[in-house]
Amino acid sequence: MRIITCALQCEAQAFIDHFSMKSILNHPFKIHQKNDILLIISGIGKLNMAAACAYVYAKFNNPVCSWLNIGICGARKKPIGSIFIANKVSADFSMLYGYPPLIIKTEIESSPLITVDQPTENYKNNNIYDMEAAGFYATCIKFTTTELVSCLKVVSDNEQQSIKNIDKNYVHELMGNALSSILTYFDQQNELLQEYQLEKQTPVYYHELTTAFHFTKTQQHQLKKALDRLTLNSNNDINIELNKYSNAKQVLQYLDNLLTLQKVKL
Amino acid sequence: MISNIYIEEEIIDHTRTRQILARFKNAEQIICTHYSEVFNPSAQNFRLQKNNPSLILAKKMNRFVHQAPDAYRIGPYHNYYFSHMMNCIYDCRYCFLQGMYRSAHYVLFVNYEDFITEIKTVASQHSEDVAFFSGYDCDSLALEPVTHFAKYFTPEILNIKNAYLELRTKSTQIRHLLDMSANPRCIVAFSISPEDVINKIEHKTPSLQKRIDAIKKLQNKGWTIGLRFDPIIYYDGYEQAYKNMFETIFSAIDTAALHSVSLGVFRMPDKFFKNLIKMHPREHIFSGPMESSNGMTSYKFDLENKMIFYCEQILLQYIPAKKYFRCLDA
Repeated sequence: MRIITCALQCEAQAFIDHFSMKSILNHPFKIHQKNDILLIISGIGKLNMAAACAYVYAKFNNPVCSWLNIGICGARKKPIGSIFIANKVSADFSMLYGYPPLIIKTEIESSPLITVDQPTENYKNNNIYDMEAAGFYATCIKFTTTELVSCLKVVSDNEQQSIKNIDKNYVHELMGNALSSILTYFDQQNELLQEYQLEKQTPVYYHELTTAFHFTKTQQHQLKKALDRLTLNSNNDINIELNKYSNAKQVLQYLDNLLTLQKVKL
Repeated sequence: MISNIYIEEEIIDHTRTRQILARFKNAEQIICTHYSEVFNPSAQNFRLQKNNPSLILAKKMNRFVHQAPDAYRIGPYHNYYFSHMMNCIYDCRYCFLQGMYRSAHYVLFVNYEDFITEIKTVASQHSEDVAFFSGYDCDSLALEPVTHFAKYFTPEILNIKNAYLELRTKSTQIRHLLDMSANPRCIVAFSISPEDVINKIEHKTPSLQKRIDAIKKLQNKGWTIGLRFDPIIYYDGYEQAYKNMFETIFSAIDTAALHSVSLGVFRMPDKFFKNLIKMHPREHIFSGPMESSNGMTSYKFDLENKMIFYCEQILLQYIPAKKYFRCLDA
């Protein structure tokens, strides 16, 4: 599952339109869905964002997800409409939330991101400023690996363009202009997710065997390991006749014999 | 090649930091307080990071030199190891680093001078020769054009009268070594595997022929070479592959000038091996007949002995027994 989070409807609308997403929930958070893509609108602020991420994770109960937080940000000198990926997420009072790994090879530049509790024009150094990313990052890394958690921000205000001039239409237009770059990143993130999912796959026969026989926790590990190793060399072409065995121990013994006999390819 | 560089605040003005940053002008620079903030968080995936690892420039604060396990002894020395770097640009499927670390980023400690200070202290505690191994947590030479590690350490070791340095590598980055006079107390130890092992599971490493060419160039310049056939990998047809590899290498290099040759089979702490299996669910070599004993995963005892015996028989046709060492479990 691929999850996009935004604070505001106007930040999300271009993506909802692009994917032709359907609204599936209005309360406590607005959620839109198309196939394996979910988009959740949290409301402003890091607490709302943290709550929204936790909510969607618990509701959809899918442990293998990628997470992308998109939205607007402020910066001192960065051009309006430019896009940045957070390379460091911190909050007011220098509270560090972490360094999202920059694994995806992208044209999008990276920047340190500071999440503030109130809108600010007190831009410092090379940072970008938003109001949600810290809540997003701190929450999502509890659910998945950090490589699958990214924050992409579009500059909406800077030294020349005051935050006071921002309205819904302006944000909608900014996000629409950034759509193509963000979608490219979103696709690349999906490739990483696919790679990660490979690690989480359950081996062939695992469900059949654990349904047919009682395996203790230790035996479940042994079974998974043995099936993993057997399927490696046989391209999933293994044959286990369930009716030949009466308990888990016999199954494990049979698999161990198979493993001893099989040739190992490079 | 490296698109993101994390830099500890404290060493941002270090000469070596500046030299490395100048080499990667287009890399994004990200300042951190301590490398562990980037390298150590638990929710990281080594395999995913291996797609595009970053470089972390850091300062090592203490414990520069560690006693090496007795099993890794090569010659009649006191043995120590040190790691100026953590992680490797290569991607060998059997490598324990991917089971040990959460992150695939390369951490480079730029304060080489502090390593040398501690190496001097340790050497001075012994009246006999002392060997210092590099290449335990990284490949010693693979990033040499960036790190200038060998360029700095090799002459420094020569200044410590009872110190030997072993540079363990699969790399052909030997230009700095060729540019200086051979150091008789530095052993360049090449890890060697059959060509098909290199092609299939030692990703991004130089071919067997390129490693042999590098060995020949170094020998021609008077450098002392060690050969490390470790780990020997079991697969269908391994006997012929290792036989061919021994023939190829010993017919190409100056065998009489070799410092030492060692053999070891695949072995790894259970915990790291478990991580490896999770990371590479489709890697064939892990489907071999392995077992766990005393917290280490290795090939089944009989098979391990058979593999070692087979390789030893051939190896000892090419080299004298006094130059041969068997690497055992740590």
